[in-house]
Amino acid sequence: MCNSYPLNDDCWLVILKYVSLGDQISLAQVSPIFNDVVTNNWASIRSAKITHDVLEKFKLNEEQFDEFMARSCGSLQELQLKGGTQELLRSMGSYSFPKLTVLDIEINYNEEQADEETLMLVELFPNLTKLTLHSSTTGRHLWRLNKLKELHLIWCEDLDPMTFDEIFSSLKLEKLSILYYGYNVNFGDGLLPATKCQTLQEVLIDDHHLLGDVLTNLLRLPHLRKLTFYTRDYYEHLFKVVAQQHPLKVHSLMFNDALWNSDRATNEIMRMTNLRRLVLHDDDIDTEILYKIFNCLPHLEELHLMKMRSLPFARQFWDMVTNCPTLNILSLSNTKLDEEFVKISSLRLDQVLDNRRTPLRMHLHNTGLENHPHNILTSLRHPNLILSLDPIELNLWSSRFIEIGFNPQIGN
Amino acid sequence: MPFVKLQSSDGEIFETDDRAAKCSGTIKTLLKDCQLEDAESQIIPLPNVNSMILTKILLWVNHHKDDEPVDDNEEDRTYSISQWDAEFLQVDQGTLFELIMAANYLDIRGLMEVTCKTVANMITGRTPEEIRRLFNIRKDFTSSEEELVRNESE
Repeated sequence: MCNSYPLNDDCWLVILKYVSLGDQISLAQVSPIFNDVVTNNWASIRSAKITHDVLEKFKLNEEQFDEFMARSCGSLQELQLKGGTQELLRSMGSYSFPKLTVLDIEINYNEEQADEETLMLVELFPNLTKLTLHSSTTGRHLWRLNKLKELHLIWCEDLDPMTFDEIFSSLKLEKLSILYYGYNVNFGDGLLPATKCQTLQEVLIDDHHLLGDVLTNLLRLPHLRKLTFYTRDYYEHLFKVVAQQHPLKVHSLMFNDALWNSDRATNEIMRMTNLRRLVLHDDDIDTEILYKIFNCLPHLEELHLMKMRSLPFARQFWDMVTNCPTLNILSLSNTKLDEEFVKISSLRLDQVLDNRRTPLRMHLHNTGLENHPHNILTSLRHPNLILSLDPIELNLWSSRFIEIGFNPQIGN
Repeated sequence: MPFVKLQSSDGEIFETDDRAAKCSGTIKTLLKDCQLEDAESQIIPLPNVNSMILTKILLWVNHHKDDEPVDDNEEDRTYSISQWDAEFLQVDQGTLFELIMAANYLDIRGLMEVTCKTVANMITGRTPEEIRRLFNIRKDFTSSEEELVRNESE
């Protein structure tokens, strides 16, 4: 008797939610019944991830690829396609994808026919609202995707700035990424048309593309609420521009392996007196500098010192917290703490927390203290202290970046 | 009602607190629709669940009765299984499938999710032939033969 047959189709449909497409292809080849279960599921899936491995499996069984496309095209809303080719796009041309709004596609480099590929793409998926594209596109034809709200161009080394006017004057983009993680492409002022897209709210870009007038113009956009840049050399200069032009608009800052005790950058932070949230991750800051920053930020609500090389001594650390009554979240997660830190902290708690109006939530995930044999965290007790060992999720999309959050309602 | 009595398909009666019992959408609806919530002496028959599986299920719901409700949002789907659940599900394949069927019948979302993830993990990375061996499926069955075996099993 087949052990798996007692499960009905309803149960298999739940199981298939957790089975990758590649494994579903294997399962479909097990027997006619499993083929039915899997292909019936394809008729209702909303998202699919076609990786290189999946494409290899489909290459061995083209009928199965056709079956997948025929069944899923009507219901798919999100598609991730890695390692696509023009030939593949052409074979998808016999199907229509009316509900597909989110596409993350990596097409093998093909400079000669890049525009043709892009045209196929926009014709195949006319309803896209979010496109993440990694290909040799020049940018031509992208303006036709008139429902697009998010455009993320990653490693598109053949992008032609001549196409930018058309793209950014046609599309009402809210989120834009243009990333190379280095200097292999430099548009210079060629990127200025992007700064005319009045609907932009979030921009993610390499730091060298913000030089010249690009940053200044972006900062004038009425709805800009987040600017994130991968940084190598220019962050101090760019940070100065932000601090000089719109210091009060900045309400959150995140440095990932990027601050490194920079005096210049910390001086600029001190001008951002509306700052609510400061995150340092995998970074370094002197006690003295941190102390200075604390004294200049009267509205700071969250401080995250995560995975830091070192921390201030406990006594100085709690002095800083005492001077910041607005602080309500303090995270030291992923930073190694020692018994001494906890011991001194426990002696200071009453003094620091007794007069607080609201409790302080302290995150201590993965600090090395959780599994301490004497459970020393129990000594950190105070009615105004909420201890959490849960992780805080940060969007760490790359090494070395700075994320600046703006409050667009504040003008300077 | 603090306690609920459940009767397995082989006639055994189990008593459990109502919070644990209400992890089952089926039992919860039954208690509400049949106005059994105040009838402590009432026994709810579960003709599709035998005593061995019901014992396991009661162990699971008692451990998870204070959990947040399972979210159906696909984007929030997690593929991880807690250590407790992983140990709980160290059972033979037949028991695992019976737990899935019972969780489906009783509409216990959390248990359904974790048992289905376990089967999905068993499939991950295997070739068709390996999956056949895993589930003891003959390759040479025709579609109608398979259907027959399947119907017999049900």
